[in-house]
This record gives sequence, structure tokens and C-alpha cells, in this order.
Amino acid sequence: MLDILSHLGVGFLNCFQPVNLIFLVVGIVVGLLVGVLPGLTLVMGVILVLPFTYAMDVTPAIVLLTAMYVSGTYGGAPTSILFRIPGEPIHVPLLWDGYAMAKQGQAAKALGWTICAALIGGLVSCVIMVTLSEPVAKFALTFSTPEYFAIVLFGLTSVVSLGGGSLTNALISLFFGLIIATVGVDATYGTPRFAFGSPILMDGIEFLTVMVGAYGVGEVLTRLGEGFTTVPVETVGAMKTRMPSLKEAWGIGTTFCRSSILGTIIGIVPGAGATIASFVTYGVEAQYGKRKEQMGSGIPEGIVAPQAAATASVGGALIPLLTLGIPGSGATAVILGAFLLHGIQPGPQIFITSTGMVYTVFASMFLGIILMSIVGYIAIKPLVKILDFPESVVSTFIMLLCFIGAFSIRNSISDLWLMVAFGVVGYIFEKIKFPIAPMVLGTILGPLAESSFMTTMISFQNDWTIFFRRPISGIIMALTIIALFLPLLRKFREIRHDKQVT
Amino acid sequence: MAMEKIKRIFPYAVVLLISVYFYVLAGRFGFGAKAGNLGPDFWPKLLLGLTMAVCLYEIAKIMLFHRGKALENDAGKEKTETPKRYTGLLIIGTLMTIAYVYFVSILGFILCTFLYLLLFMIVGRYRKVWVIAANSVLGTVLFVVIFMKAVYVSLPLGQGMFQQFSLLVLKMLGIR
Repeated sequence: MLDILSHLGVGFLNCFQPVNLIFLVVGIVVGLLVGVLPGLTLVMGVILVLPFTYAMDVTPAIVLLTAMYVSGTYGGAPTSILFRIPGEPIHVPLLWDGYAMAKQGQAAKALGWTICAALIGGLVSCVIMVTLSEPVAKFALTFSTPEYFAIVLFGLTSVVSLGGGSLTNALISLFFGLIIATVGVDATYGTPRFAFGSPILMDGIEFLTVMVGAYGVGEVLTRLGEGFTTVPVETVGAMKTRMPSLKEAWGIGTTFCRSSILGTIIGIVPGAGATIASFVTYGVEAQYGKRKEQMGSGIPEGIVAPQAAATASVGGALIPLLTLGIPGSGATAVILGAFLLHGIQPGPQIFITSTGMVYTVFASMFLGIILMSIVGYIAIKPLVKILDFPESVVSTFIMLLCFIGAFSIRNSISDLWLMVAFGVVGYIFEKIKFPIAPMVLGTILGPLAESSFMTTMISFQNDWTIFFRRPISGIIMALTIIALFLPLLRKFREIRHDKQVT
Repeated sequence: MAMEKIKRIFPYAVVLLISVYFYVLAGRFGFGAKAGNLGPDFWPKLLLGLTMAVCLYEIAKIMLFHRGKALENDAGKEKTETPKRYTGLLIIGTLMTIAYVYFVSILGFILCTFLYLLLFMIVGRYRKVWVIAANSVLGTVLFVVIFMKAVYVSLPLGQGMFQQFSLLVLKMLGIR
């Protein structure tokens, strides 16, 4: 523990180096802006900033991206509360109590609760992240391919089962992503697969190209199809933030604790990000909270639960990324991409080979959350004013960043074609209600899933029961099965409930 | 009713057909694996098989258990919630994006980006001409400076006279 604290101390000192500090501030501000703009999602924002990091050192690059990730979980909250415009899907639960509170003339208080929740949720998750990461990494050193396959499978299953909506559509999307990941020369036998003789396909399809296309281009096309209808912002004259008193905050301490811890745990589950954390904790609060009957009528618990969980999920999502090399969400997948582009493979070894960098990132998270709260408190007016910016202009520049982002991955025009193709796929998916997240996660985790599965099969003479017979992988496989059957159980309960009602 | 069912089945049928095609392709991979070992076709075939199974399940569900009443409800819901569509703009925007990718290696990043920014904002129903012009020029210059001078991305210069034009602009911006 003392080791961890001393590394963290050095991390804080590194954070105060001008380069790291500048990029931390830039990341926080850009993340807040990204969170505010409805056409620009958090993952999209992180993707679009990625090309800017190519010429940077790895530490400021990761500091920039994680700062954006953290502040993006808060950025859309003010517009949700004040104008009923959620900048991100994360902030949809804030509409229920936050907007209701604003309508009762308590907008300033609602904004104060949001900042407070983001601050506490974020800091709690940072403490958990710092405490758990190194022990988990040490434990992960004992993992073999069956354990890795079980973890990846668990992550893939979670995104399908926790995502809500149609299970079959989510599964198709996931399988599509996994198939995309098989394109190119196979790592075990050197056999070209689905390459159609194209040199660029022989090298495989980069997951960043898929992400830029599906999230970036697909989203812009969707909004273009809606005519870029920007909602005009009403007067921002009387906009203020009023922080809750210590007594008030203490009064709902259980909500703070429960949501922060739950948000961190959900963040740790590969595939479940801030949006799921925000919805799940709101649901938990509505079911088990002290004032569960009043949820939705404009009470602080309805604001604190989703916001604390959303920000807490960031710290959680960084744990599997750094300790296992498995991204827990779309944004961490981009951060993984940034690591790889700088020649660093996240995983258990990173705590031995790049200790300084890892703890600088950890320290930057603490500072970033505090800074985000300060900026959110002071700059509420200009932040909300961003909504007045014409959407067509913003979207045009998003497209341009998508072009540059996709091109600069391999300096190839072919990647631009692939990006456009995945943009169209993203648009079609949106239209036919197929979720994009499972496809993207499948593309990211596909190579790891296949290589760990194939290596296990070769090492254990095609004995698939090995996944269930080894203690760790066995437990994770059991969790995977539970996660897969969870939606069916939920459906069964709904049917039973409906029958009881009728 | 039948039309509605076909509409719902259509995406799954398309995915099913594509999966069958790729499954056949996977069966033609050439490789030399040891006897008893899984080959490089196993993983894609497994995924494609699962995709086909899910599609068949969904098609069967729609065909056998889909109720008219639920359909009417869904349709009614969509009618009240669907915002105004701008299909023409969407098609033009998509074609422009495809054209950008096609022409960027011929016209070069600078010229192609300038034209794309200009036209995409107009297609996006923005009508302040001077703002569009200023954004297009400044945006192009800014991105060229950032990515070619600071981040060292080798953006396409174009061919022939367009390359000469790109080089001239780069010289004016003090790049290279």
C-alpha cells in the first residue's frame, strides 16, 4: 500500500509538469463541450481527438483522453436539467428528476447536486481504481488463455444483456463485429480470410476505423437525415449553481455511497459503460432508495444516483483496461488505441514497465475530477451557450475530423473507404434498431477472443471443458451464463407481472 | 399485415443470406493444420453459424408469433414520434462524402476539404454565406497547419496541377 501511495505521489508531481497540466485542462474543457453538444457523443469526442495525440508523448496523450472521458460524463448534465436536452444518453435519467427540480424553480440546486455527485462519484471510483489496479494486475499475471477467453466472453455477453432492447439484434450486432475482426491474415496459420485479394484487408480492419465510421460518420448522417434541427436555447441570464450544504449531502450519504460503488463496479464489467451505470443506478435507487416513491418528482436522489454512477464508471472502466488490456467501454477502447499507437500494450506488465506513466494517469484523474467540478461550477453560462452553435457547422467539422482520424491510422485512402462503409452501416443499424456498441466491442475484443480460444484449444487438445474446469475461468464462465440468461429472467418477470396486473 | 411482417423479416433475411455467403467463403480457406487441430475457418464459421441461428430464430418468431395488434400499436407509436425526414439531404450528404474520399487523392486534401466544408454546410441547411466561406477557409488552413506541421500526418497533396496548388499553399503556410 505504501508503494502505491508513493507512486501516486510521484504521479501528482508529474501531473504538475506544464505539458501534462495543459493537456489535462484542455481535456477537461473539450470533454465538457463534447458533453454539451447533442450531436457529439462522448465516445465520438474521444475518437475525434485521437489524431491530435499522434505526435505527443504517451503520458500527455493518455492524460488528455482520460480527462475528456471524465468530464464528458458531466458535460451534458446542465443542458439536461435546464433545457431537457441530454447531451449524452448518460444524462437521460437526469431528465426525470433534474428537469423536474428545475421546473420547480430549483435549477441552481439541481446543478449543485450534479456537480457534487460527479465529484464524489469520481473521487470514490479513483480511490477504488488506485487501490485495486496493482493487486489485480499481479493476480492477472497468473492468468492463462482460458481465463482471458472467459473474461472477454463475459464482457461481450454483458454488453448484450445489460444493453436493454432486443437481445437478438444485440447478438447479431456483436457477431457482426466479431466477424469484422476475423478479416485479414489469421494469426495462427497465416491464412488470409475474407480479404478478397485487397492488401488493406489482408492487414485487417482497424477497430478505430470501425469506431470512427459507425459512431462519427453514422451519427452525422443520422442527424443530417433529421435536418440538423438545433433546438434554440432559451435565455441563460439567470443561470447559477448552488451547492448543497454538508448536512443536505450527508442526508443522502447512502445514495452517494451506493451509486459511486455500483457505478465503479459496472464500469469494471467489460462492455458496460457510463450510460448503463447511469440507468442501472437510477433503477436501483427507484427500487431500494429511502424515498423510492418520490423518484421522478424532482428529488436530489434522482440526480445524485445517475450522475455519481456515470462519473464513477470511468475509474472502474480503467481497471480492466490497464490491468488486463481489455477495454471496458467505447471510450476506453479509444484510449487502448492511443496506448497501442504509442507502442505500449496495456496489461499486467504495464505496472512493471511503465509505473510512472500509469500513476501519472491515476493522479490526473483525481485532479481532473476536481478541476471539472470547478470549471462546471464557474463556467455554466458559456458552457450552455455552446448549444447555440449551428449544428451543421459542428457536424461538418466532425466529418473532417473523421476523415483525418481514419486516414492517419495507416496513412491509407482505403481506410477512408472502410470508414464511409462503416458510417453507412452505423446509419442503417440506427434505422433498423440494431445497437452499434456490441458491434464495436466485438471488433475490439474479437482478436483477443479468437487468439485466446484457439491457443486454449491447441494447448488443451480441443478440450472445451477446460474453460469450466479451471477455477477462475469456471467462475467467470458461470457469471457469463448468468449474464446471458438475465434478460430472459427479466422478460419472464415482466410477463408474470403483467399477468398479475391484468 | 403480411407486408408488415415482410418489412420486419427483411433485415434478418438479408443478414442470413450474407452469413450463408460468408460461411461458404470460410469453407474455402486454404490452410495446413495438424490432424485434429481447429483450422482458421473454425472461428468465423462458428460466428456465422450463430448469426444464422439468431436470424432464423427471429424470422420464425415474427412468422409464427407476431400479433397484428402489437403491430398496429407499434405503427401508431412511430407515427406520433417520427420527426420530419430529410432524405434528399441525406442522399446528397452521403454522395458528397463518397465523392470526398474519391477525389481527395486527386484534388489533394486542401482543395477537396475546402470544397467539402463549403458544400456540406450548405447541404446542412446553413445559409450564412460569409460564415460558411470563412469557416471553410479558416477550417482548412487550421487543420492543415495542425496536422501537417504539428502532428506530422502526411495528408494527400493531389495529382498534377492540384499537387502544384497544394505545394504552393503549403509554402505560403510555411510548411516543409
